[in-house]
Amino acid sequence: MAVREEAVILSRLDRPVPSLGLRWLRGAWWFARHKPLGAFGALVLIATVVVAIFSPWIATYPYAQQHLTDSLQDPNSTYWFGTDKQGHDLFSRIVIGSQITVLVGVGTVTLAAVLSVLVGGVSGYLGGRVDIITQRVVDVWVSLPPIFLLLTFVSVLGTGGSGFLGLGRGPDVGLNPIDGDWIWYTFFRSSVVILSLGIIFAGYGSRIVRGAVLAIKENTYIEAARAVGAGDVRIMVHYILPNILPVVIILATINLGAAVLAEATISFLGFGIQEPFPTWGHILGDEGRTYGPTAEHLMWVPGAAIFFSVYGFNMLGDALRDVLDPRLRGGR
Amino acid sequence: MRNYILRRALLVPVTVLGVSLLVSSLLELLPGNVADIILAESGGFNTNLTKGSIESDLGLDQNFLTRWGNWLADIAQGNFGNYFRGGRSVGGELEHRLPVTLQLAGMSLVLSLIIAIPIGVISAVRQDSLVDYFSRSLAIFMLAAPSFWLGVMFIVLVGNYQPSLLPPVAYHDVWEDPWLNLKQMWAPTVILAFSLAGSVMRLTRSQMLEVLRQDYVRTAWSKGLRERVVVTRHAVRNAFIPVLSLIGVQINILISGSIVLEQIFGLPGLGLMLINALLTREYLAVQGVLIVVATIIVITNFIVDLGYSVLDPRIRYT
Repeated sequence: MAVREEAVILSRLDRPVPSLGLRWLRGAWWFARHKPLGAFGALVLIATVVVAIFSPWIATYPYAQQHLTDSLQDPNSTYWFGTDKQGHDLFSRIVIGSQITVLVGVGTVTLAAVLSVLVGGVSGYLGGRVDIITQRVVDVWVSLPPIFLLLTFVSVLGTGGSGFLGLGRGPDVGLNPIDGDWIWYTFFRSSVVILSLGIIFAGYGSRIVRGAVLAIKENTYIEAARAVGAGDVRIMVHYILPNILPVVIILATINLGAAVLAEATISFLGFGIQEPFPTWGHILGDEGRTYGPTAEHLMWVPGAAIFFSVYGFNMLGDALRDVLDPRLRGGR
Repeated sequence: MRNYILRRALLVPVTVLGVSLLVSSLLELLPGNVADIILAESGGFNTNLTKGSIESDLGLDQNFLTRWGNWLADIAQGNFGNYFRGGRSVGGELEHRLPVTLQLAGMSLVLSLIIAIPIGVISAVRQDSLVDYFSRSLAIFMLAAPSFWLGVMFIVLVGNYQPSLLPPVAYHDVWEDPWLNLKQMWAPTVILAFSLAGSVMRLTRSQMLEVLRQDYVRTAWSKGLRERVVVTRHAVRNAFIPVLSLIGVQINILISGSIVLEQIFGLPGLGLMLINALLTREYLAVQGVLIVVATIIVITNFIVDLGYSVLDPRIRYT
């Protein structure tokens, strides 16, 4: 018996390792079966990204085109989501607005992740005086509510006109769909929001990264690496970074929803990316509030867009956290 | 323990000092000549305004560190400066608006705990039951529904179908007319509590699940105690400690959330003051709001940390 079991095990070991693509597919399938809500969230994210990239071709009208005779129409076969006061097609505006959701969401969490790793990693790894001083700075950073800080940054730096650092629409890449604004140009327009939010979120993120680094630092393999003569930079990049990666990925996905919500909040208040560009928060805060009582779709549609994207992103973040690192489960 | 409290207490002024440095350095970020912009925008509202007076009010004629020091010294004496338009004192404005925000935040916090903790406890005790499933979905919904959407929904739907429930337009102080004040405050309070309750509910549930598997809870069961006693006396008390620390984090969210609801419901709180100050470039008012809010948050977190160390004797600080 024992020999046969051994043979079975050996034959399993013999099997060729599946290709990377296959392993990813299997992983995705496993994820979808065990975390259906998480998979739904992933779908929401992918769908939003696809819609955002192809938005100028998906939109049925140019977002700034007015149909003054069709003011405040309910959703119908011509205007799928209805129209606003000036007769803008709401469907097109929502589709174009998804660019901001994707850019601000993904841009913010990427920037925040990089900064968190830099600040939290160095602070946790070096320890001592560097750590103490860094942590006091982070203390200051997190003692102001994110929305207050964001509003202040954005209104001080300005979100309209020539854009951040005078970049305006950014360099022309020759791709300019008839409807005007492709995601590439929108990126430069939203850079102030992304930069501010990324820096704000990094304060909270660096705390978590620092905690992870402190725990990993105690492992014997770090000591072993040092014994064979690895320098600080090598240890940080080759030994610590791969081990905090799951934490960073979780942090980024969990922040995705929060970033979208924060952008929508300041746009709602009128501080976000400026007119005529249609952001979901601004449509709700401007048209939705003013004309919502007579045309309720102006309140339902942009609100639901924000709600479902945030809901999907949150579900994805939660599921990834459960799979990658259940210890981080908390109330949030 | 005493050492820990002392060290922790010392961090409060250090952090506030750091915030003041950050806040006063915001002016450095401004592109262009601030005094010129303010004069162009506000000069029509205040004929006493000159470029020189704006510069000296903001301290632009001094270097950065002197400006910071002077501003701090003024604040220490309760002088937050004056508005450029109209010349009202920023300190007086803060005094009027702080209670509004604190009332909204405080009432929402209490309401969210009243909603969230019992539901969280029940959903843990009856894990995987229909109640549990329902409350978990509710918590997820609460976390994703933006409070500004709920606010607009309330105004539009109530305005369309039950206009008598709409809050009165003019703000009434709680000391002046508690009933009218409540009529105005209940809706934003419920909405803010709603968005807060989601996270409290989830944390309470996961903490309860953990505590219910502890040995001492099994002992309590095997002593033949009734469920009510086991849950309330043995489990909830211990599960509550991490929830307390969450409240420290939530203060941040509460004040962030109040900014939107104050704007929707026209409550003259700190959030609305910040929005208006940013729109009219009243930078002294912006600085005033930020420093006051940060001080509140730092002190709250200090109290929460203290409470944490008192409630959980297992935590030993060296």
